[in-house]
Amino acid sequence: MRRKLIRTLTFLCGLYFVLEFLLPKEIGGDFDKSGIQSPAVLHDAESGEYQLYYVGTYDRRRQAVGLATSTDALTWEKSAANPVVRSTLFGSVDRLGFSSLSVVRTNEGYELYYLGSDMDRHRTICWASSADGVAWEKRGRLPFQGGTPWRQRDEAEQSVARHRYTTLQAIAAARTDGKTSLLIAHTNVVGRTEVLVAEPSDSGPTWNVTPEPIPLKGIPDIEKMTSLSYVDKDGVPELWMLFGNGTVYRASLAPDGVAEQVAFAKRLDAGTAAEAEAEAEGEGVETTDVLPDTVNEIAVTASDDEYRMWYTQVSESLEAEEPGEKSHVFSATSTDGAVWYILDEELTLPVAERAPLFSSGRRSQSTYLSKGSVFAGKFLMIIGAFAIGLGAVNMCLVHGRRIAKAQEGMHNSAIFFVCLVSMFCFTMLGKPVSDKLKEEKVKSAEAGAEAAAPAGEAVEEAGEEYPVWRTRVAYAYDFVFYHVQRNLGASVFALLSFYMVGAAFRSFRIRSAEAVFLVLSAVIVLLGQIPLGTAISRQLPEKFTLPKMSDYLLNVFNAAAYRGVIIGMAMAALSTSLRLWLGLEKGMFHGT
Amino acid sequence: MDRRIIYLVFFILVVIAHLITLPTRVTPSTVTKRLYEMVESLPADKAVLVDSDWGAGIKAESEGQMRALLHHAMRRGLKIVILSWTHNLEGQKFGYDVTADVAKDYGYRYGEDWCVLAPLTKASGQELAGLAKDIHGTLSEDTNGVPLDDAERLPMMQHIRTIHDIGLVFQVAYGHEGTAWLGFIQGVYGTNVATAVSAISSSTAYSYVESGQFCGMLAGAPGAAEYEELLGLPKESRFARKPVSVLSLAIGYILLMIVIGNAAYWGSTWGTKR
Repeated sequence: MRRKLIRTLTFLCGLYFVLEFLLPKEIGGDFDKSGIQSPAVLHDAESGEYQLYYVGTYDRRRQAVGLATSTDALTWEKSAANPVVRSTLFGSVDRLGFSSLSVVRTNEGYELYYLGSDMDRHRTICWASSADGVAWEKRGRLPFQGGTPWRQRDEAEQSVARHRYTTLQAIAAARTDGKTSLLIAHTNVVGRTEVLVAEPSDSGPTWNVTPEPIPLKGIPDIEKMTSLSYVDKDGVPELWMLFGNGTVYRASLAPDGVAEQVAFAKRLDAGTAAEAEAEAEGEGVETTDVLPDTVNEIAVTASDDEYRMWYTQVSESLEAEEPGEKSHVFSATSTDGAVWYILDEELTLPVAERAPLFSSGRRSQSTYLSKGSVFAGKFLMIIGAFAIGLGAVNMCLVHGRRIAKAQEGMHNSAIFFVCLVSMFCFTMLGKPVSDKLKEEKVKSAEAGAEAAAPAGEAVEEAGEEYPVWRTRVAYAYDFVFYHVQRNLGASVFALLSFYMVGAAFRSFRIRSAEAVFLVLSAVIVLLGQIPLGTAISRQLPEKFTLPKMSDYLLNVFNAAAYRGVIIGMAMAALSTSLRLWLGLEKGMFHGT
Repeated sequence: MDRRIIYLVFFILVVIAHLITLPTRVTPSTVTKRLYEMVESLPADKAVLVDSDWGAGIKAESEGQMRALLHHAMRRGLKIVILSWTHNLEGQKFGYDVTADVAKDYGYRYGEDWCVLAPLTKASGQELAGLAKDIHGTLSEDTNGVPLDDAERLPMMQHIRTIHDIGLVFQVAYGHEGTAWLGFIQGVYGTNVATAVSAISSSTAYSYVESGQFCGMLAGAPGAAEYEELLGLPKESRFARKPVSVLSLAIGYILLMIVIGNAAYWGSTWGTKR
């Protein structure tokens, strides 16, 4: 009867964990439920309609492009056809998502340019076309003639191995004289951001990249550009750039143009730029130089009388039924492009008055099984703690018996008890004081960095909270940890290296043809991991340098072999688990 | 050759390597670059969860790995949460010490920019399933006993409540212990998971990096040195320089031993045949 009960309980617990693991944790939700970013805006001056394309995130592996439209730039409606562009599931350049969207209107319809991220998180410039701006056809990677400068430089960096790794940062499409051109921001070999221009070649479907970057005067040495936007304001082309530290620069592309940093001021309502400016002047508001650090990308549009900047930001949800944080689209306005009026979280407006244009979509709902996972986790942790306690009790019984019977090795058992009891006492009495002292020390260091407060004062104060003997026990606890346990642990591991050297001499013998491959592989992998390998193979072609060959051996041959082992082990574990779960494995219920 | 001579020469070499630092010029591997690129692309509002499951035995490798990633995360201004385990309290102590040390360079403040959670008990991975759903419910306090809901002392934790608030899980451990993170977190929620293991254990993790389950990996001290190279850290901040310097001499000696051992073997075989 008892055995049947245990088997039934085991089966039910197993059933819960299997179903909880296999079934989705959350169901439903919109394609943009986890966030919206990377806005790209088209404004039709004739009809007055705005089209805002954005990247919606469902989860970390799924992104898509959505569309929202408005006639007054204040009231927005998401398209019923959303998402209008989806990532391709297998082997595509945009498998992991989209960024840096840029849309232009052409004679044939619309063109969308974006940076796609593949499974290796390599960014590639991709494009899509559409006749109506809603139904899009993806065209894949943008073909460049003769390779791309950023890729060539990236490979050059790898060969010299002395430079940080860089990728494409942002792109912006521009439409001038009936032709589309692309502005491409990347980091050059000295770590500075530069902007290149790409244009379609006259002879074919490929694009050409200008070898020299656009001269951008007036921009300080800021490393990373996160967003780039092109605007044609009254016939003067302008670049708008957002950098990683939240600063925004406007660079006029006129021959003598100099880039200037823009400022942001509090906007009181969601009206036009002129109204915002007049209202702000009355209030005498202060300006700030940076956008909030959660703003990653911006889009800028210009009409005859004002500029508009579009950006996304994470802040509190405005929907009572879905509290917490959500992504929102905001806009800022400016008459001159120098001072922007913005509804900024830093500028203390109440949430309800920040008036985002629209927000990320409806969230998913947790399933009933998933809701129980916190409880199940805690339950298993308690079981785990009992297991540790059981182990300690068992050790005490074994060693206690040995001492009681005065068996051989009883002195080792005595040492075991001394260590167990002393560490237990040191931990119970010393650890809380030690942790408190350490916390105060960290705070003291932080305060010292800020206000040059005398270091150690706070520690002494904290020390006074406890009796002297407790602080001594705390120091003893730290001593045992840092000067006994740590050193012993390191010593035991250090012994391994001596065994390895001995094994290399005595056992690594080339006795067969297979052993030749084994030794060769070992030599390549060992040398590939140390600077010596880089040094002695630097003159060889890139693919045959020792680090590259080592990389290849580990990533291909080693990974394939280990996968075979893992699959075999998993099959065995699965069959054993199934036997246990279904009560077919009777040994454990009978005892040993 | 007497093994005691082999050991003695090895010991002398390691001592010399500790006294002089050899020039370390490493080439970043694919797996290291993947991790760098992942951290570079993390959204500013997501935190990095560092699973500090290492100890004194692999300090030479793990400390450099953890420092390198912390430098990058703090340079980007990301919040850092340190997780440790009841079965390995060394990981908690070392994690705390290392993070506090790196935090000084970036003006990071405990509770506002980084914090160390109370240790978690392993329970076949189910503890991670609970953690993913509700961090505050699974671990109610930090290492100093401050409740995670205390908005005054731990303001950063008020915005970090589920796995959706974590941009990257970075596990620092001796061996490849990350499969629970892959099974219960990466596979279910798509959270980015990376690992930093000792060089000797790294061969078992490559298949998971190649499949895209681990978004990157630091393999031993060379992995840490490669990451420092990518970060362009100044020499004084490069913790992995010394271990890689020692490793270079040690590996050189091991290779020499392989050559001598084989020469002796083939010499004796040839002599016997004659």
